Parts: sequence; structure tokens; C-alpha cells
Amino acid sequence: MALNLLAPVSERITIHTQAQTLQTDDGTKVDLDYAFAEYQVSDEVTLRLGKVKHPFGIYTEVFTVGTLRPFIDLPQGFYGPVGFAGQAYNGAGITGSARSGEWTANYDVYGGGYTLEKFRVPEELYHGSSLQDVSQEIEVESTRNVIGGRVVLHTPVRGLSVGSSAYTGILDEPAANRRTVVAAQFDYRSNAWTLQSEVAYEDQVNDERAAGGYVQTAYRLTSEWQVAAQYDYLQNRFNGVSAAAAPSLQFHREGAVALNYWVSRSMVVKLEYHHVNGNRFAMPHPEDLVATLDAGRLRTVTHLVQFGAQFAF
Amino acid sequence: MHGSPRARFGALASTIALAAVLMAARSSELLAQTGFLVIVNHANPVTSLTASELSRVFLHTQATWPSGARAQPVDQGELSNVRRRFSDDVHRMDVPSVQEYWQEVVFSGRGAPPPQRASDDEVIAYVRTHPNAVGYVAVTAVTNDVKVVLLAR
Repeated sequence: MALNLLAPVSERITIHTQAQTLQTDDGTKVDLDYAFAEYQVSDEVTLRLGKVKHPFGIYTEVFTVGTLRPFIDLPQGFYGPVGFAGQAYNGAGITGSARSGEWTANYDVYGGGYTLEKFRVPEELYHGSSLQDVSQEIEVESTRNVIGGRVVLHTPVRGLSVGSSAYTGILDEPAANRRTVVAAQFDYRSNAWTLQSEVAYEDQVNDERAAGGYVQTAYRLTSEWQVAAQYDYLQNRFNGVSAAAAPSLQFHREGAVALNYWVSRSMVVKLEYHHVNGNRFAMPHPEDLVATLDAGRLRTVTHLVQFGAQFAF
Repeated sequence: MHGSPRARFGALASTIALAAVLMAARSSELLAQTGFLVIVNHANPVTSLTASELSRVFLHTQATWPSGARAQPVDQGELSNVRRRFSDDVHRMDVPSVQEYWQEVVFSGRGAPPPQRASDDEVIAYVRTHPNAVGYVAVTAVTNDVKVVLLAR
């Protein structure tokens, strides 16, 4: 559950905040999604300062809003805990747009630091750590001295845009390796159709590389019923690790279909089937993983059925 | 394929008439306004807007008038017929798609939708009392309290 507040201080200055409560194994947790001040210089230039949503790709800024996507979760090969994008940066940025005729370019540039969540099990396994000691599967990774940006070009075709995002920074750890991520996006939306695709490439010097992406489409049969299909993938390469060592832990390939019933644009019920090939995310509990691998019982294919309701108001 | 001379003449006349109507519509550069008129405050010097300019103002991707003053769009309720027509003609999106657009803007921390008023009378009252406001109302609802703006393609 998230609470979004917007406070106009003056005609040009606005304060934005959003907090959310999450149910975790440790109980209820309250997270500050963002809190920043914004000063609009002109239509073309707006300054932002604080904890700001990370402008990266199509969905990073609306990561938690289930009514803005056709599937319950965002495509894991791009938006999963893979290390492509954090949800917010701490720092300063400039956002705005420039227009020429029927073309509009929206841009963001920013600097500061951010944290992101990453599923750590394959790295721990490949680097020889004991999986028995893995107390948390999701690692929070900090990056500092980040500079980055995003440009989205809206074409004269209503609903069609293309864009690119990129950033680079230094990992906040003793080795201080540089992380660089680049991504490209395609987005088409009409009243009935949605067609989107994104690809990303990450390079962590002396550590790992990752390439991921997805294509998804959705079609509204009526104002209530919608069907959707999606394919996403991720491929990791860890330095110093043979691809022969449990290769399925290094990739994720997923196909999915969904049938959605929209009560309104603010509430949707979703039923979906996912066929997952690979164990980058779909795997036994870390404590059971080694035994499963040793016994040769690690299945590379996972079938998943999800049913749920999402709302936003 | 081989109709009588009278039938063929009739078809030719219809084609010419249709072409004449299309040319007239194009030369006047007027967008077909089916059931609504765009209104501004009498103090606003704007006399005409293109549909894409108006759409940008209502979607907050254009914040100011040519004079530099901050535009203050006012929407009608989401279930109103005039809102549906405005959305189809000006945004070229249906009302639910516009709602989805605003969800994305709000939850990404990039703004808030224009205020809504429940009736034509309330929109006229808002525009009358806000010098930089722009709204839309049913054709039959317009009064002398506001100025009608020409909507061009």
C-alpha cells in the first residue's frame, strides 16, 4: 500500500513524497519511495533535489503500480533483482522536454547515488561461498558517484515513443568496481493495443556482465477484458566462473500469457501462466540448492500460475 | 459496372460533392467539433488553438500560454459525454486511456491532473474567475461570461 502526496509550495515549487508499507517475513515495513523538491524553471527545464524516482526505462518510476502494466509483476529479465536499475536516486537532477513540430523529446539527467536490489544466490555459489550461510537472498547494493540520463522521443504517431537510458557509477564496496548500464526502449499504446520492448546491458568491471530484455503486448477485447503475452530473458556472465558450472543458474527465459478483467482503470484482476526456462530466479530455497544440484535434481523448467488483484487510486 | 448514364452521372455528382466538402473542411482548417466548445477567460488574448496544442495544455506537457502565463486547464467529470467527445477529438485517446496517463504521471511524481468540475455551469464559473483558465463545455451551454476559442487542426 503506497501513499502519494504532492504539495505545491508556490506556482513553480512543488514537494513530492510517496511512502509505502510492505508485508515481509519480518513484519510490516515502511519504505520512503521518494521525497524531493521540484522547481520548474520553464516548460523545458525543471530542477529536482532529494530522493527522486530513478528515470530509467519505461516502468522504473511506476515500479509498484500494478494498474499500469498487463502482468502482475514487471518482466523479471529487465525489472527483476538483476542489477539494471534502482527505484530512486539520492541527488540532483534536471528533467524537461523539448518540442519540434509534432516531435517531443523528454529528457532527464541526474547525479548522486542509489541502491538497488539484487538476487545474489548464483554469485555466492559461483564464488565458492557456502550457500548454507546465505541469510538473505536479496542483496541491497549501493552505487555512488552516479551520473546518468534518459531521453524519450515521442513521435508524431500518437502513443509511439522510443528512448534510451544509461548511467555509470562506482560500487560502494572495497573493490570499488565501476558499474555501467545502458538500455533502449520501444513503447506503443493506443486505446486497445499496448506493445512494449526494452533491452539492457550491464557491465561491472572485474565482476559480471548481464544482458536482458523483454517484449510484451496486450489487447483490450472490451473495456473490461484484456489479453496479454510476454517474453523476457536474462543472461549473466560471472568473471572467473565456468559457464559449465550449473549453467541454468546464469540464465532466465520466460514466456507468459494473461487474461485480465478491469473493474475500472484503477482496479484489475489478473490470471496468468508463466513458462520459465532457467534457474536465475526460479530455484529451490538457497539452503536446499547445493543438495539439489549434487543430486542432479535441479529442474530447469518451472510452470507458474498467478492470480491476483491490483488497484491504485 | 455498366450502369445507366443517369446512374453514372449521379455517382460522379456525389463524388464531386464529397470532394468539395472535404476541400472546404481542409481549407477552413477547422476541426469537426461534435458537441463541445473550448472556452477561455475574456482576459486571455488567445483566439485559436490547434488540437495538439490544446491536448498538451490539458496533459500538462505545455504549462504556459504564448504570453508566458501559466495555463490552468479544467476538466469535466470522467463520466460526462462532453469529456468523452473532447478526449476522442483532442487527445485522440478514450477517457480511460487518459486516466491511465494521469496514473502514470501521478505515481512517477511528475505532476497531478487538472481540477475537475461536475457540470458545464461549474466549468464556465471556473473559467470566468481564473484569467488563465481553459475549459470545454457543451455547445448549448456557452454564455457571454467566457470567450469561445477556435479549435483548428
